[in-house]
Amino acid sequence: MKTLLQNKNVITISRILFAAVFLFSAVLKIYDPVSFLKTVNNYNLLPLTYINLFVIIIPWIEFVSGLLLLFNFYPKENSAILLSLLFLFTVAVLTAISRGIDIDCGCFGNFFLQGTNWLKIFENVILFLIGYHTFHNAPVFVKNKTKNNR
Amino acid sequence: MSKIRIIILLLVAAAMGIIYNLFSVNGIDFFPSRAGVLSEQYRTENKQDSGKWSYNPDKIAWHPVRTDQAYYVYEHNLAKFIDPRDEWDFKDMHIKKAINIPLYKFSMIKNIVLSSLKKKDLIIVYCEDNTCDDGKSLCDSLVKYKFKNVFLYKGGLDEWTFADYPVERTNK
Repeated sequence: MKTLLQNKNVITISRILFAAVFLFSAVLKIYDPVSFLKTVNNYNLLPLTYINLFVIIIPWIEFVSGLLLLFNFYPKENSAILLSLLFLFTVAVLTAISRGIDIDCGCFGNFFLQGTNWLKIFENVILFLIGYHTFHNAPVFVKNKTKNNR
Repeated sequence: MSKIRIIILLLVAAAMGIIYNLFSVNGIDFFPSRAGVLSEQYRTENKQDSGKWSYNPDKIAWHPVRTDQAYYVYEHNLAKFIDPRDEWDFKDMHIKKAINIPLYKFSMIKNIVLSSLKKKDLIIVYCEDNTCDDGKSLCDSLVKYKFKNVFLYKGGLDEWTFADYPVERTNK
């Protein structure tokens, strides 16, 4: 199992999969910011003053990091950023579940309407494992040389 | 893993987001307009219904507003109060600092109205009480002219005076 997980092709597939999910999600949010704004507002987590800035900036962080990770550019840093975002999103969904609010999770804009439920948490955990696999096996770039940190 | 690189990546992404939003046709305001104040109050008081009146800056429609909400924006000088009744009723009594735009004259004076108000102004239209349809009609007209933050204070002057909030008389 360990050998399989450290197989170069498996690492590449998990990196591409992890990046593609975020890239796809980012494009949908950038395309329709108003839907994303409504979703973020429905979570009742952020102060209203900062919701718009959040909606403007977060999809672009997903987009830039997703794109760079897809092309294996600074994979360690970009996968760390995406893992942090995934963690934040999962916490948001968990708080919605704990407060009994059943809303669209807003994960993929209006393209896929997914609720805030335990299935979503399960999906996020799977994605988190794929992301962690990418992060753990990503090479570190040091002054024009690439070192493998394993 | 370099923390500096992470910070640079985040800053670059944020800058791209801001620039894109500035020039995109789908761009949104960087900060919510003053209508958000009402939405903020509403959603904290009615958490279960939060989805029913979510703040959407691009949605062109009017919303109802309660006495406490109307007074909140009045007290903080956040909104323009518009009275659609005729001049005589207006002179007899109106909410302090309200503007009189008689509904029957709207088509004649619409150019003056449109030039004196900004599309993003928070506008609260009120009438005598909740049986008066002039308020609703004026809201519909304002919405038709693309005013984005139009609210109807259904309780109107009746509820306002009952709550002992400031009114004005400009008679004689």
